[in-house]
Order: sequence, then structure tokens, then C-alpha cells
Amino acid sequence: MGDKAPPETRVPLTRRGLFAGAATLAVSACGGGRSSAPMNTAGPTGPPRRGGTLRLPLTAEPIAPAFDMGTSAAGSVGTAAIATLAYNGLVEVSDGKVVPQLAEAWDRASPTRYVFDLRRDVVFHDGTPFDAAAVKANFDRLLDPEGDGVNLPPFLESVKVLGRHQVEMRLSRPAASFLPSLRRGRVMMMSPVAVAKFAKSDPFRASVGTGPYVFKEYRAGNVIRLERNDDYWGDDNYLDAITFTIIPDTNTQIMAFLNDEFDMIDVLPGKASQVKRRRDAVWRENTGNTFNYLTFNQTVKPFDNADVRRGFSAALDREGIAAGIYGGHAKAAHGPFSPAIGPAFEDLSGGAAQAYSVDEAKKFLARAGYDFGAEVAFNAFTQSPWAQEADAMAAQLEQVGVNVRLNKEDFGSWADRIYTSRDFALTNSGQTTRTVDPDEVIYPLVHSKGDLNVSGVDDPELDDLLEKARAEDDPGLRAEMYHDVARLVADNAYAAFTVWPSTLTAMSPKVGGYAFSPGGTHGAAQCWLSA
Amino acid sequence: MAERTTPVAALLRPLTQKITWSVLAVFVLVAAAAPLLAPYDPAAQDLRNTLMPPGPGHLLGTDEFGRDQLSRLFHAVRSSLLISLATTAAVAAAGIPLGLLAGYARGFANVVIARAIDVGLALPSLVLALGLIAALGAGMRSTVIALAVGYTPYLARVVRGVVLRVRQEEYVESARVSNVPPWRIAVRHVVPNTLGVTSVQLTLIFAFAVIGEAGLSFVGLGVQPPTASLGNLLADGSAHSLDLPILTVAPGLVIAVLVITLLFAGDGVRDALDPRRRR
Repeated sequence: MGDKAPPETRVPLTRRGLFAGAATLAVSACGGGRSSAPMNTAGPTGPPRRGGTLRLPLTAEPIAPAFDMGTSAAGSVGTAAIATLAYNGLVEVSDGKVVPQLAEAWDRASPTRYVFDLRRDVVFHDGTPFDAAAVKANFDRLLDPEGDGVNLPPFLESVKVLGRHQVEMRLSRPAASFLPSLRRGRVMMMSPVAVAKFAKSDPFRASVGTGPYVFKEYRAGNVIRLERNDDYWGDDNYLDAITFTIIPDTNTQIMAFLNDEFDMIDVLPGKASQVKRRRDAVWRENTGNTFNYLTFNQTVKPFDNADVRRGFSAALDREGIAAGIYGGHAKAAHGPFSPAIGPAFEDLSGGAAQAYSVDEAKKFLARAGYDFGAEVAFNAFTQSPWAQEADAMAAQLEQVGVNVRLNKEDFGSWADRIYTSRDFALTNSGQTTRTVDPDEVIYPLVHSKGDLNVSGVDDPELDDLLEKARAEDDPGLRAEMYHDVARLVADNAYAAFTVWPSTLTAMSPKVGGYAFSPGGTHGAAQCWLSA
Repeated sequence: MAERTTPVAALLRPLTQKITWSVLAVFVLVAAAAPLLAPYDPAAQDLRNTLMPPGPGHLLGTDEFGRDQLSRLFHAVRSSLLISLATTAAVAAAGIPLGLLAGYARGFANVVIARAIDVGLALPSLVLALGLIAALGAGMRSTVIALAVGYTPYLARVVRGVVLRVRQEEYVESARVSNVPPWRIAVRHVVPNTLGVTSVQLTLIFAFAVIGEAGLSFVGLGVQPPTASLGNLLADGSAHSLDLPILTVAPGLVIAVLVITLLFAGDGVRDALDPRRRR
């Protein structure tokens, strides 16, 4: 399914392209299906074939103003994923490496100065040539302090046109995460002519890019239709059209997929067993770059005590959550970085603070002098699977004698409570990175000045490490720094990490060319349909 | 007139009523003894055995948290019956006095209460309940309050109708001219006449309360998890209606059987109290 996540769950938290909630989980569901039937993973063989319409369901309406990437719409992972079908970035991230897209080559002239050479054979869908001026116009729009832009690359100060197809970008400080932050899916190039003409009056008409498909039609609450861009600079746009049909109810989506009314559907792990009723479905499962966690308001008692946090963390049966709530389509997490995040991953299951043990949990709590009579409020939101995860965690905490009162609210009220009024003691959520760079996901969460640091983490050693790691250029040293960061966060139980959910996609056996790119290009971008 | 029969004997004479009241007795037994009958703790999760189909270990399978569905169903009957009973009692406690007052009082009180009942009847009771729960916060007690407020006008209106008829009767007139105080007339002459219609109405309200609780819990406003109720079992199961239909079918059937039985019971009470049918 096209939508990488229900957009409305993103907006309040997406100021930096981050969000609470797993990126690739689009449908609402719960529980773990018994998955006895083996999953077929073989698609069609032979060379890609041109033609056909790929049909996908979409759980929620894209964030307004639709696909204008110069606005907060770009902060929604789901909206941005669809937009990658019509737009390109200067670069893309593939297998953890930055690879060229609209920028053919680049040079880091100094630690704070990059020079990009642009492709010369690219035009926007409206005929506007793609050149250095267009790039500058796009970035100036993001840099405008009056503007509504999100996903600004870190420390970007200015963009300058050096030649018709050459731009220079200057940073205020060196940042290793700068290049990956320019990836497709995050910062994408729009026709400056269309933006000037339509951005205010009709944002959908302003949605003019250079990508493989062209936005043709958007009927609110009904369908979004893209058609092939015949003048595409690449040659992997095989389909005549791609349609996203908006169906909020995931059971209805599944029924339609079982009925061959959709060619591809994103499946929440708990719903997998239902989708398996389509015997010929072809499955793709990938460990996502999302981590789910329980977090504590560390500015209030008793969670200012690290041993209380460790005790709560050790009480969580991570394998149980992965098996039960995710039907096995998740991995137990013992730290923030999943294997999908590349070299920053390190196995931390040995640490007592992030591994399930009722005995250890009780020991930690006893050492902290925890008051088992006190009631702890646990604020969760009603969206699956986080709501179910909260139910499971509350029951597990009761197992070690903690008196938990679980209180679920709709996502909007919950986000207000957690992110605005910060009136909570205990809550659970998920975080995803869009750049597959560890900085993007961890810095805002645990740096004392981080945007999303609602837990009140304030650790000078951690701050120092995060700032150094952010600026470090050597990949090996940087990976080690993030190992230290992860260990510090895990050992102090600044959060209790639970699972890394998988992303599951089921498709008709006719679909070829699906490519999983977490937080980046939509999986359908290079798809084709066999006869 | 033929020989007098006791009301209970009259009630249980038809075969359908024998069945009806036996089924109700089973429900009451299950509700009362749920903790003893349930093979498992209804809230105990077993995340490694979620969504198991029915089998020897779990006769109705397990839900999405690996909880035993049969145990949850027993406890759901308990909480649903408890809520319905409390709602019915609250409706009786509020509706009978209101109806008496509206029918017996004259002048301003009569107008105010009668119009208030009309307003209450005009509001859809479930919508009213949704609004009240939004204000009170979800939970068992709010569910009872919300449902009781919604159903009270129905009872009050019926009681008022009976009172309006009875107060014209000659024995009431004679009591009045004999200077019997109004409260005494109400207790001695009016209330006994309302009992028949009140008990029929209360049986129906009990049935409505079962449906009302199920509806509120289904949308997440009634009984809060992990406490089981018929409505939230239905809601939890609906996510798995394709692969494990038993999770929805079982509570759905229980609701249907319970409500149908209660409606039959209402018919039985009505027939038993109807002098024309009582033979």
C-alpha cells in the first residue's frame, strides 16, 4: 500500500521530519495472527513490461496542502512517500549510502561548503527546465523564516547559484548528516513556476516535479491518480498510471485486496493472517527503521530515579510483544537503533536495563525504594498497534507489582498532552528516521535541547556525545560514537525500548520491481505489471 | 372467577416462559459465579499464544492478547448484567417517583415534569448517553448514569399515564373527600396500580440496557479494558472477524440470546399481570 503511515498521526510531531509512530504501518489493527502458512516471496520473472495501472489503497487523506513539499505536508511520511512518485531529490539513500539523483556529483569543498553538479537533461512536468536557479528557489522557500517549510537540512545557511547547473550550499557548522538529509522523500524539487502560480490558490496544481509520474487527479476522500511522465530523465517508469484509493477502514482494504481489486497493500503485522487468505499473494518483509518505546517523565518523581526506570524497563516482555502484538513480524529491541539503521546498530541485549526479567525488575525497584502502593498514570493513544502495545505493557508492569492506570485518548489529545502540556508520567510511542541517519532520530529525543525531548532527559555527557557525533566525518568513529550514545541511553533507561516492527507489503503475483526504501522513495516507483 | 393462582405460577405456566426463565437463571448463575466458573484469569495475557482457535485448552480460543475467551465471556456477562441491573434499579428509583409526581401533582409541577419527560423522550437515549459520558469520563459508573438518564423518561411517562387514569377512579375520589393525605393516597391506592405496567417496562429497560452497554463499550466509552464486557469483547474481536470469527460470534450470540430472552420475559410478565389472560 502506498501510504507509509496515516498522515494525521504525523503532523504534530513532524517538524523535523520525525514523527511518533512507526513510519510504515499504515493500517489499524491489533493482535498477532498465527502465521503458519509460509509466505510466498517470488514475484514475476522476465524483463520489466511497460503498461498497466497499479492500484493501491490509502488509509488516510494526505496532509493538506496535499503534495506541496515546501510546507508541513512534507513532514508526513505517508504524504512524502506518495510525493516521491512525482518528485526527485538531489540525492537518494540506498543501502545506507548516498547515491546521485538530480545531483550528478558533489564535492565537499570545505567542512561547511558543498558544491553540487546537477543533471542537465531534466525538465519539470510543466516544461520548466530544472537548473541551479530552480534548486535555489526550492531551498530559499524552505529557509524562509516566514515560510511553512519543514525538513530543513541541519545547519544549512545559504544556497548560491554558481553556474546554470551548479549550486553551492553553505552550512553554519559541519554536519555529517547533511548529505543524507537531502534525500528524496525528505527534500524534493518542485517547479518554481508552478509554485509561484498555484501554491496559494491550488496546491495540487502546484505539485509539479521531475519524477517518473505526474500528479493528474486528486478527488478528496476518493482517489489520487498519477500518470507516466513520458519525458522522464530515467527509464524505470513502466506503468501507465498509479492510483491510490482512499479507504480508511483497513478491513475493507483487505477484503478488496483479497478480491484482486488492489495490486499492493501495506499490512500491519497483526493483520497478516487475514491477508494470507489470498494464497497467491507475494510478500515482502523488512526490518523497519522504527523503534517503539515506553518513556518516562523524568522531571517528576519517581522517574527521576534511574533504577525506577530500569525496573519498569526490565518488566517489559519484548519478545512477547513482538510475538503477540506483532504476530512475530517485529524484533525485540534492546536499544534505539535497529539493524536497518546500519553501522549505528549494536546488540545491547546483554544490558540488564533493557532486557526482560521479572527478577531484575523487582531488584531494580527494590533498590530504588519504589512505592508499590502509588498509582502510576500511563497515557497512551487509541491507535493500533500502539494501543495494544500499551495494554500489553500495562499488564506486564502489573506482573512486577506496579499499580498502573492506563488512560487512552485519541491521537490529537494525546499529542497535546505529551508534546505541548507535557502533563504525563508514562507514555509509549514510536520513532522513525527518514534519512537512516542515527542523528535524526536520537538527537531530538534525548538531547537536553532536543525538540522531541518530552521526557526531560538532561545528561551533559550525552549532550556532548551527540554534538560531537553530529559533526564527526569519519564513518567508523561516528558509528562508535553512536554505539556509546545507544549504550548511555539504554543503561540509564532514558526510555525502555520494546520492538523494531517490520514493514510488511503484500502484492499480487503480477507486480515486479518493488523496492523497499525506508523513509525514501515509494516502493511502487519502479514497479511493473506482468501480463 | 376461577381459583386464584400465584403470580409466579401464572408467569411460568406457558412453556416459552419456562424456557425463558431457565435461560435467565443460567445467565444469572454465570454472572454470579463467573470467578469460579472461568478457567483462567480473564485479564491474564499470554502473548505467545494469541488468537488461538478453539481447542481443549481454550474452549473458545484466545484473543489478541492471548487471554482465554471463555473466561472473558463469563466475566463479560457478569459486568454487563451488573450494569444493566444497576441501570434498571436507577431508572426505577428515579422514574417511579417522577411519574407519580407528574401524574398526581397539579399545576406547575405537573407541567414542568411532564414537559421534562417529553424532552427526555425526544432525545435519542444513546446520543444522550454519549454526551453524558463525554462529560463524566468513560467507566462503569458513568455508563450506568448515562443509560439511566436516557431511559428514565420512558418509565416516568408510563407511570404518569397510569396515575392519570387511576386518580379518576371513584375509590381515589372517595379517599380524597375523606381528607386522606395525598402521600397516603399515592402509597395505598396509586402505587399498587402502577406495579404491573412498571415491571413490564423495567424488564424491557433491562434489555435495552444490555444493548446500550454493548453499544457504548463497543465504541470504547463503556466498560474500560482490561475489564471484559459484552460490548468490548465484540469490539476487540471485530478486528479479527475474518480469521477468527468466534471472537465476535460468541459475544454477539450471547447478546442476542440475552436480549431476546429478556424481551420474552417482559411478554411473560405482561401476560401474567393481565387480568384478562390470568386464568
